[in-house]
Amino acid sequence: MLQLNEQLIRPVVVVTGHYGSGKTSFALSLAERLAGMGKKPSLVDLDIVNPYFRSYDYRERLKEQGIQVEGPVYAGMNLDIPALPAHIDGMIETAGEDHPVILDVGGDDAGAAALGRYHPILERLAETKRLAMVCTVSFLRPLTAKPDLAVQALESIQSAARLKCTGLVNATNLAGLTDPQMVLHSMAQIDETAEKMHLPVVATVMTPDVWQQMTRDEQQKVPFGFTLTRRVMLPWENGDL
Amino acid sequence: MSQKYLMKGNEALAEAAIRAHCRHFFGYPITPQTEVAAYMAKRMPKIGGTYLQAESEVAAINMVLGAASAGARAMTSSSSPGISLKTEGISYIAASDLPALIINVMRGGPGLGGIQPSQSDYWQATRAPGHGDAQLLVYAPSSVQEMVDLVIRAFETGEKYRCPAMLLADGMLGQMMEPVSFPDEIALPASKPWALTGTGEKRRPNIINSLYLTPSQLEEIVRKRFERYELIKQNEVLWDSYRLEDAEYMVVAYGATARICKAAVEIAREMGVKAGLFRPVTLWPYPTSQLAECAKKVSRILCVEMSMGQMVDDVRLAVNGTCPVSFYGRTGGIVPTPEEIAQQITALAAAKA
Repeated sequence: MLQLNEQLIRPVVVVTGHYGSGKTSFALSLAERLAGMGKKPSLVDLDIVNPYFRSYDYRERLKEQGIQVEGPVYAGMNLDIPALPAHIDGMIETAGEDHPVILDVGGDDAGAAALGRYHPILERLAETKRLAMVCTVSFLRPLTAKPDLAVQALESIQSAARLKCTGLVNATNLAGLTDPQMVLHSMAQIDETAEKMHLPVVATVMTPDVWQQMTRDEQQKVPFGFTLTRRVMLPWENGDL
Repeated sequence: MSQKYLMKGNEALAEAAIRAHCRHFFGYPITPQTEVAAYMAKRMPKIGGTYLQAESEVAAINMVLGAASAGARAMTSSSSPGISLKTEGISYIAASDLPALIINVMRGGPGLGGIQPSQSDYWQATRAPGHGDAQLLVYAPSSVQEMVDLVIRAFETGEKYRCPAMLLADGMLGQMMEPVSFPDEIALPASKPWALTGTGEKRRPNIINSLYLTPSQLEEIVRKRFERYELIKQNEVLWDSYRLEDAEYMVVAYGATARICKAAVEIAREMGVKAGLFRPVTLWPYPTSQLAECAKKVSRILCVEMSMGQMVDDVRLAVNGTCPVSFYGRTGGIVPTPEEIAQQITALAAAKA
């Protein structure tokens, strides 16, 4: 099992990022990983922007693994009403190392605005390092294809969230077409972004087969490699969901 | 083709339009196509283009009418209820012989309906995209890459025939992500001598209009337009097929549903039923003769849509009674699964045996 960065085992992990950069896949996998470590994680779908392909869709499967999933009151329904249930506050407030809470936030600054609602609690948790706010970045998304573009996107997310990012997650991928060279090529870009933002890279995400295709030397170049199985599937794909 | 990116269907539509030299986008947000407008809002100001969020869908389509009159490559984008609001303007654009691109990322209807994927605007797109004797070119992509390719084609073909074009997608295509690439170079729009760009006192003024004072004049104009429609029917039909070579059962589907049907064809074949898929890519002009030709080689046809059955009319017209056509549909935002469609195919085979 690959090593998890200290930030990802904090009581509250907030997952933000540009939309389509892999937030939901990462949040789902992190919840599963923490459950596998014997913890009792909860996953909160805070996405008030995206109508489909959201972590709330996977709640039944996650429940079987002992992961509690919460989401907007009307998630998956025909109403575009971004109402969040009141008990999310309590979940965040009482999160602990053995029962961590992962917040899967909507894309961009528009999605991050939902965090403003929880600002007093989140800021307090951040001050005592009981909270990590990670930002997923994919350099194969056209609006964040370069480090300076990624920095712009991250800054607008931080400003809407009224919360500083604590770490970056390199989620550069082309879905099923991802290969080791794409991931390795992105390492220089994520390092440049991290340097500009004065932030650590806390994970680099890929599927297990991409990780295994790397030589041992190549794997050394990817600290905090994080393998995940693709969960967000299309209706005609043979998912295990 | 150059660098590949992972893109949402809606973003790919917007980026393809920009690459195709469109610099005028007029819209109004609506789920599930809002990313088209959001992407345009971010990109257009950086490249000297116009992104304008109008006060309503009606205003947006009339801005397209104005920009297209001046020769600009212009577009708008919406989802089902928003398209209903635009239909008056679409009719005026067709009546003014103007090229423009209208994107419809369909959601459940009628009425306010819902925000989940649907294909229940087929009739509206192909039969009545506004009042009067008029047609739109209608393109139905079934992958994010095809969304890119067909946006470019829709602009070019629309300008060739001076006819508005619609890209008819559904919420699933708009929201899903796939790898895409863009052509390295896309030709600049051809010159538009009819455009309202000012005479410079060197020529007589051009006139763009949809009002004709005498019935005979209007009839003549409409007849001439229909001569152009005939040319479109001859030259611009697009379709695709999958495993039809030895198929006994032909599934007909378009858009995201065609992707699901492809998986269903595979399941049916694993169960020993020789199924294949016919996929119209242009919904108007419809691949009528091509479908009729394919129908000669099969014993049963199943049309599948995310609607109560709309394209099935065109399938029946094409086949003209030579082969039994049945229909399977889900509606209201429900996306059928490959398994339930495969069950429909195998049930047809069982009924025949």
